[in-house]
This record gives sequence, structure tokens and C-alpha cells, in this order.
Amino acid sequence: MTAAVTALALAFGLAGAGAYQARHEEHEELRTYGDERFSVQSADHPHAIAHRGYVVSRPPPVLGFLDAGLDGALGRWLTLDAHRTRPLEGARVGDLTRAPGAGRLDLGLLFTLVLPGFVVLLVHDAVAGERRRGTFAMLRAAGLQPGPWVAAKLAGAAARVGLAVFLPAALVAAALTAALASDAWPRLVAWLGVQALGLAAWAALTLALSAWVRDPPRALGMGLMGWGLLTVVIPPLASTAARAATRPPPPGVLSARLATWAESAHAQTEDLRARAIRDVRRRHPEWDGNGDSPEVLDAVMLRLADREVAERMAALLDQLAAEQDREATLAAALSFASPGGLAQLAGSAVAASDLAQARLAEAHYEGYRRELMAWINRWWAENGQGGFDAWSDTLKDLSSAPRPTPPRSPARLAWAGCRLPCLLLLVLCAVGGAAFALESRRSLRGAA
Amino acid sequence: MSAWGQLLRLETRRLLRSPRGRAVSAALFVATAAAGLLGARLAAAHVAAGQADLEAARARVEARMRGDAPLSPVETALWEDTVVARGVAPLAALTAQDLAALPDAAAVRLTHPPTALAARAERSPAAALLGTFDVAWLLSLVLPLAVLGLGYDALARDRARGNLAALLAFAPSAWGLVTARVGAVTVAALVGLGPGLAVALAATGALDGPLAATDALLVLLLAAAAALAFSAATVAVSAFSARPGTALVAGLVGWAVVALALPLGLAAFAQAAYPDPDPRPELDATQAAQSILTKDADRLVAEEARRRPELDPERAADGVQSVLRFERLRAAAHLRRVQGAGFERRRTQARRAELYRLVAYLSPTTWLSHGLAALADTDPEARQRFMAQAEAFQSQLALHVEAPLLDRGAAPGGWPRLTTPPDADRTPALLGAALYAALAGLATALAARRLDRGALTPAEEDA
Amino acid sequence: MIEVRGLTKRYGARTAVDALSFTVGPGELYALLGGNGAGKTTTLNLILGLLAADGGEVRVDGVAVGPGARPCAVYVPEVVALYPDLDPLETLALFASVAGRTVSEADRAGALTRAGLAAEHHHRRVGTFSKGMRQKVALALAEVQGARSVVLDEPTSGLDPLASAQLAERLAAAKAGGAAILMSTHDVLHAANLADRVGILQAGRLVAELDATGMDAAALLAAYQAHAG
Repeated sequence: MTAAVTALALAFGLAGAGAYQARHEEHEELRTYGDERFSVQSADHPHAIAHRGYVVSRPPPVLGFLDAGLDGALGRWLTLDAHRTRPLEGARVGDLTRAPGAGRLDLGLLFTLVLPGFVVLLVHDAVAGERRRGTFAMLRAAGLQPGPWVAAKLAGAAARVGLAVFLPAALVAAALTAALASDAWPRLVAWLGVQALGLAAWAALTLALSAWVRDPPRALGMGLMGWGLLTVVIPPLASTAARAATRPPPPGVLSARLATWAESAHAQTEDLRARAIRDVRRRHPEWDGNGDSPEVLDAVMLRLADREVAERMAALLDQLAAEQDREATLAAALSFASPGGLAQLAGSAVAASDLAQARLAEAHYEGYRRELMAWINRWWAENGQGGFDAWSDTLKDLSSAPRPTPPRSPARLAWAGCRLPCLLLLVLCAVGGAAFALESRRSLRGAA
Repeated sequence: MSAWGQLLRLETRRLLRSPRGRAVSAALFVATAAAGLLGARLAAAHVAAGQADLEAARARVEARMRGDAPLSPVETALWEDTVVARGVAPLAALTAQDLAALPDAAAVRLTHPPTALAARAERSPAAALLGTFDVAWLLSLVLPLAVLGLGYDALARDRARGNLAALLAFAPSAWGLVTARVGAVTVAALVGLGPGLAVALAATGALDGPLAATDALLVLLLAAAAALAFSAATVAVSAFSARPGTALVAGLVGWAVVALALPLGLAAFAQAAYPDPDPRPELDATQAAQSILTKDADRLVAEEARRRPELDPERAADGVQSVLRFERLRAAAHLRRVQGAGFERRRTQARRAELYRLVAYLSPTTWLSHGLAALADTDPEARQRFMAQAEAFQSQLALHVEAPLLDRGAAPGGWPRLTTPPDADRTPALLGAALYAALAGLATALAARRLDRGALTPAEEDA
Repeated sequence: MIEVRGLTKRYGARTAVDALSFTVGPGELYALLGGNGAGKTTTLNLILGLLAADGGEVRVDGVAVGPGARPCAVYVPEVVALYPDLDPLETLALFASVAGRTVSEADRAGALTRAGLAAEHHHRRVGTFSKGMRQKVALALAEVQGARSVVLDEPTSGLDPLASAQLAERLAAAKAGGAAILMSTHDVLHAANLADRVGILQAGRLVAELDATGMDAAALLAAYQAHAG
């Protein structure tokens, strides 16, 4: 069994690492490309860089070689422009397959889908085998107490699963981390912890089944059928129910709303002009409103309009994010009966390959975009229409500044993503252990 | 009643009387009905999203053409999105997983190739990570498992108990026994699946458009053929196994290979055969084309005017018309370049989808899901087809807005709108059913041959 | 009639059945007596065509048994499981239909009654039956199938005394009807009570063949100890 797990871990691990490596190289190339293109753009107008947009590459997940999670279904690069016409590009959603885990092959899928089957194979006869061989009756006659029996069986199952199933796959994961992300050890430990918790839940539930069913072949049959159902029925069922229960706003409606706001903000000329004058007066109290304005009023109007659009858009995106969060939480809660589904959700959160992480990168780039827009507006306000000659030099300064790199996924985000699934996995461990303990107590003390 | 008919009746009765048979049949019914109902709800949500996108964009277009400073049709088509919705076939309720990866709508402007609006999978972590429990998922992944649960011991338990020898002692061949057992497992599966599918098909009635009776019958035929093939394969595994436990483990390993590993491997193969091209040339070309829209592009407009002399600004009756003609030709020049920039990517995606459709025939479980997807217009090439329809609409929109420029008057019917008609292809479903029938025949023959020629030695009973 | 000539079966270097020869005639009950590992079950499997022999010949009712040629004999295994979700009438119908025949319910009920299963049990599921009752259903198969030979593996194992006595009656009735009955057992008492002849099997060889008519259990045990001890 250890050899089979090792072979599978190598196959899944190398497939995941290969895909990650290609993704990583593409990211580096695109990042360099985006920086170069930003620096060589023509300096004909300050707003050109805002409206043409510039490309930033979304970094691959920190542990993407172990657990690609949503990465394949999300955009690989973003084009940032003044109106964010196309926030995500390069997605592969058209290729999504019917296979679990969106068709990815990596250690995450091995841990959550395949290895639980091995756990069932290993643990199903832990108690049922003792009954079949008659050793359970002999131990019972010898005065065995439930406490030591339960403790010994739990420890035995943990040791067998740990050594024969978890360890080989964990070693492959560690080797891949050493080769591809040697600074991600703490995250690897957390990720392996999540997977260990998932396998522990499977072991506890199988142990309870073994105690309850009493006959090894029947326990094996029920355990394997349970494995099949819990890995291919419960997670997609939970996802489907969650999707049916949530209604994120349609993207075209969002887009139309944004366009209308942008237009109305620009079109409300009189209102904006009045607000612009108030804004100029606030910042230039010495100006009595007569004569030329200390700032170009059009620039102030544009700044106000952009801000208004940005605020409304942020509210819309927050609404979308809230729906996504609700859906993810609901999916996690509904897949409570499936250790595989829960471990998948928790694992991708720790590996930084879930939606929250993608959203973090997007938010970061959105922040940078807004900062740049504000900077351009400020420059325009200060230099006005007549200052375009100076723009070329300013752009050179701007281009020489390093492009922002999104922060590495913060631990709090991983924690927020894996908290609920991990809690539910712990509950499953406890339920399995308690069921086993109760059945053992009944068997050892009762008339079984 | 013939002896074989009586045997089939008794075998079916025996299976349906057992708690396991009843539980599996009931579970199949509940799961199929639930998958159908949930799928119908999801499909309805996709229809609603597409229509909402279309209507929102349309309202905006109309407002822009009616406001205080109304835009001309050319300007509207150039700078505002006209949204086309993807038509959703009623049977898409059975393949809701595919819907998540397809755009519900696409935005069309005359300056750019149509842009698919973000698909639900791009916005839904659960859909992408955990999959969707639709009827196609159920039939391709869960049905084989359920059939395995019904029939893994069909012959292995008899062999283990020594019944096989007694059963076959007076039979000229094992063919009758094997076919009856395959039939009984199939019937037991269909007892749950059939009514469940009926509920699922009825649930599609809540969607727009009538469900063609032929399509409904094809779904039932495909499901029945799949159930027959999975049953025959299960009975064959049972015939080659000495004990029920061995048959169960062998069946589950086979299921994991055929239903899980093979589709995963085939998707990886299609991806590896046609990897995404380097995006930089396309980005460069797109960026270069952008300058056509922001700079004076007299040379390009002149080039374009040679292609479309009727739109030549020089032939305009007044200054406004001349500017609009100029803009229209400039947009056409830009569009031509952006389309050229994305050609490699689109070709790669199309070839990958085509390859995926072909290699899917290597796994028996995907015969079913692909047959259903082709009926429901959600197959791997559906995205390409929709975008092609959106491009055709773009040409139609261009002709519509050019009409006033060319003094032909506005096209009748106002601003064009399009919800693309679903494009059902029945061939994959028929082919899938035929393949399943062939597989069933082969597996049954193998099982019968095994019993006729192989040892029937009883093993130690393990149940 | 069951005829065995020079039957041999080897598993690698070990010879499980070694040149075994005996005959069970019509209306005769022949008991193969032997300890664990003596080769009884292997011998029955060879006779039933479940295993391919390495040498020798088996004929059942004059028909040679070999690969692809199964004997027309009713086999009653040690664990008579049958189909727990069918009743005895359905069980007989199922066995008959596998052979491509249909037998009327009246005929099936008659066979069951003659096998000793009371009519009130004809519509109860076999899963609720004791081993003795299941054996009666299995013996009724012989009549329904028209079998002239019956092979029983450890038929008295796990039977209570009353059920054993009833089995003896049924076997005696079958014998009287002309059936050739071969039975494997390690129970000396039942072998002495039921069998006409007893073959003592030791390490795959038939070390003795005794006429058990009139022989009591103590005498048979002494003979067994003398040959197999």
C-alpha cells in the first residue's frame, strides 16, 4: 500500500508541479512584459495610460504546485484601466471538465479524493477483523476495558494511516516544496495539517463503521461505497445547493450600471462644476471665486467623477464578494458530511488558491489603479492642460518606479478560509471517535 | 412466459426484495430527481442572468439614443455594449455543470470582438472546486457506483457459496443466467432512475421552450443503455471474482480508473496537446491596434474605405455623416486587427475543445455526459459556437447602423436583439447508446464464457 | 450413478487427490470419510466439474465430466445459502429456468412436500429457514431437475439431532427412489447411520472402502482409526 501511495503521490505531485512551473514561468514573463510595456508607452496624454489599460499578471498560488485550487478557473492576468472594463482575462473556464476538482491533477486532489479510499482499506477491519477472528471475544473475556481498547485502536489506526498513507504523500509534498518554494515551509506544515485532519476524520469514521458493522467484507463494502458517495456526491451536491441558494448579480447588469454611473457623473456638469468650485475653494481659501481658478476646474470635475464611480463600483464589487462569500460558506456548511469536500476547501485556502486569495490580488491591483488614477488627476490639477510638455518627464519618473507586487497571502486570510472547514473536520473526527467509543463500550460492557 | 422471462422476473424480484436493492433504487430515484430539480433551478438562473444582462444593456442603449444629447446609431454601436444572450436549451438543466463554465451573455461593440461576460464558474468558487451535482454528473459518476452496489455479488456470491455449480448443472450454457442477472441489475437500477429522470425531464418544463419529445426519448434511451452497459460490466467483474469482496474492490478500482482517472487524464492530455499560446503577442497587437482609436488614422481609414467604398467619408452628404463614416471605418480597421491578434488563441481553444470531444470517447462514463451535453448545447465547443454567433450578430449590428449612413433608412424592428437558439446535436447521444449496447454485449459474452469455461470452485464464504 | 477412475489432482508438488477410484451405484449412499485436509472437498469439486483434474476420469450418469462439461447432479454445499429473498417455490422455479425449463407450481409444491417441507413453509422466504429446511429445498431440486445423482458436502454439520434424523429420512427416501448419493463427512456417527459404503480418505488416497451396512459407529471408528490413525 505504501508503494502504491508513493507512486500515486509522485504521479499527482509531478503533474501538479509541472503545471505550476509553466504557470510560474508565464507569470514572470508577463510581469516583466507588463512593466516594460508600461515604461515604453507613448506620453501623448496623461489619461492615455489610464484608458488604454496596462497588464498585470496575477501571481500563482503560493502552494499552487500542491493544490492549484481555483487557479485554473480564474484569470491569469488583469488589464487595469480607468473603467475596469475587463477585470479578469486568461481564464480557462471553457475547458472545465466534469472531473472532480475542476480536472486538476495535483497532490491536493490525491489527498482529498484518492487517499481516503486507502484509509478505508487500511482501517475497515480494525474491529471487524478482531470479531471475525474471535480475538475480540477472547479479549472481552479477559476483562478488557473500553478505555484502553478505544485508545489503542485509535492510536493504531492513526499510526497505520500516518505511516502507510500520509507519510509517503507528505514526503513528496515536502520534496516539491523544497524544490519550488523553499520559503513556504510554514504554509506547507499548515496544509499538511489540514490534509492530516481530513484523513483523520476518514479514519475515525471508518473505525466507527468497523465497530458497528462487525463483518470485515461488509465493513469494506460499506466503507468504499461511502467513500465513493462522499467524494463524488456530497461536495458537488453542496456546491449545487449553495449556487441555487445564492444569486450574484449578473455581470452585464453590473457593467451597464457602471457605465451609466460613469456617464451620469461626467454628464452632471453643473452639479460637478459647483462641487469642483467648492473643492478648489476649500484647498485654496485665498481664492475669492473671481478671476482664474488656481486649479483647472475640468480636472477637479474629472477627479470627483472618477471618485464617485470608484465608490459605487466598490460597493457593487463588495456586493458581489458578499454573495461569493455566502455561497462559499454555504457550500462548506452543506458539505459537512464529506471530509473530502471540507479538506478541499480548507486546503485551497491554506495553499492560497481559493477565491479569497485571487480577490486579494485583484484588490491590491485595484488599489494601485486607484492610486495611479488619483496621482494622474492630481498631476493634471497641478499642471493643467498647458503642462503636457512636462508629462513626458513625469511619465519617465513614474515608469522607473517598481510596479507593485501583490502581498504574499497573509496568514489571516488562509485562517479565515480554512477555519470553518477545519472546525467541521474536527467535528467529524469527534463524531467518528465518539461513535466508535460508544459502540465499543456497548460491546464490551453489554450483551454483544 | 418463457423460461428466460421467468428467470428475469425472479432475479429482478430477488434483487428488489433485498434491502440493498431497495435502498439503491430509492437512492437513485431521490438523487436523480434532486439533481434534475436543482439543475432546472440553476438553468433558470442562467437564463435569467443572460436576459437581465441583455435587458440592462438594451435599456442603456435606448437611453443613450434618446437622452438630451442623443447618440447616433453608429456612435451607440461603437461605444455602448449591445448584449446578446446565450440561449439555454431545456435539457441544459441536466448539464448544469457545463452551464457554469459557459457565459450567459456576450457584449458586442463594433470596435472589439464580442466579449463573453464572466461565466458563473469565474465567480463561483464552489462550482469550480467542488463541481455540480447535475443529472449528467449523476449518470456518469454515481450510476456506475450504484449499479456496482446492486450487482457486484451477482455471480461472485453464488460462486463463493457453491450455488453456481448447482445452478448451471442442468443449463446448456451460462448465457441465460448471465443475461438474466444483467437484466435484473439493469431493471433494478431503472426502477429508481426512470421515475427520477421523468421528474428531471418534467422539471425542464419550467424553462423557456418546449422539450422535444425526441430529445426526451433520447435521454431515456441513453440512460437505459448506460445502465445496461454498467450492469453488464459489473456482472462480468463478478463473474471473474472468487468472492463478493474481491468483486467489489475490483469494481471500485475499475470505477476510479474509468470514471475519475481517465477523464482527468484526458482533460490533461487535451490541455497539454494544445497549451494556451503566449499571450504577449496578442496583448502587443491589441495595444498597437488601440492607437487606431485614439490617434488620427487617416491612412487606415482610407485603406478600409477601399474595402467598403460605399462608406467612404468623401461620399457623405454632410459633415456629421462624414465623421460617422470615418468612425465606422476606423472601428472596422481596429476590429480587424484585434481579431487577427486573437486568432491564435481562438484557434487553440477551438482545437482543444475538438480534441477533448474526440478523446472523451475513450472513457465509457463520458459517452453519457457528452451525449447529454451535445443534446443540451453545452458541449466543449458550445462556447466557440456562441462566440461565432455573437460575431455574426456583430455584422448584423454593423449593417443595421450603417443603413442610415447609406441613406437606406433605419432597419425595421428597431435595435437588433439576439438570444441565440440552442443547437442540439443528437449524433453523440445515439453513438453513445450504440457504444453502450456494444459494451454490454461484450461484457455479457465475457461473463458467460468465463462461467462456461472457467472454474466454478466455491471459495470460503465471506459474507 | 457416479463413477470415479484414477482421479488425481496436484497443487504444485503436493498431490491433493491421488489416483482415487470408487463407484456410487443407483440407490446407494456412499460416504467419503476423512479428517481435515484429507482431500474430501477437492474430490467433490473434481466430481462436480468445478476443478480440472490432472488425471483420471469421472462419469456421472454415464456422462464424462470435464472442462466445460458439467455433471447433471444436484449439489448441496455445506452452507446451503440458496437465495434468502425468494420463497422455496420461487427457488425451484429459478433453478429450473436457468436450465431453460418451466415447472408448474403444483409440481414444485409436490417436490417440496415430498422433500419434507410442509406446505405452510412454501411461501416463506428462504432467508428465514433453518439449515435443515434449506437442505430440504435443495433435495427437492433433485426431483425438479430430474437429477439421478446427489452430492452433499458435510450435510450434517451444524444440524440439530432432529434435523439430522429428518435428513436421514429424506436421503433414505431419495435412495429408495434410485438416486446415487455421494456425501463427504468427518462425522463417524452419521456416516455409520446413513451410508451403505464408506470410503476412508487419507492424504488424498482412498486407504479403505468398507461396507457400512450393519456397522455401528464404534466399529466404524475403530476401522477409521486403524486406517487413518
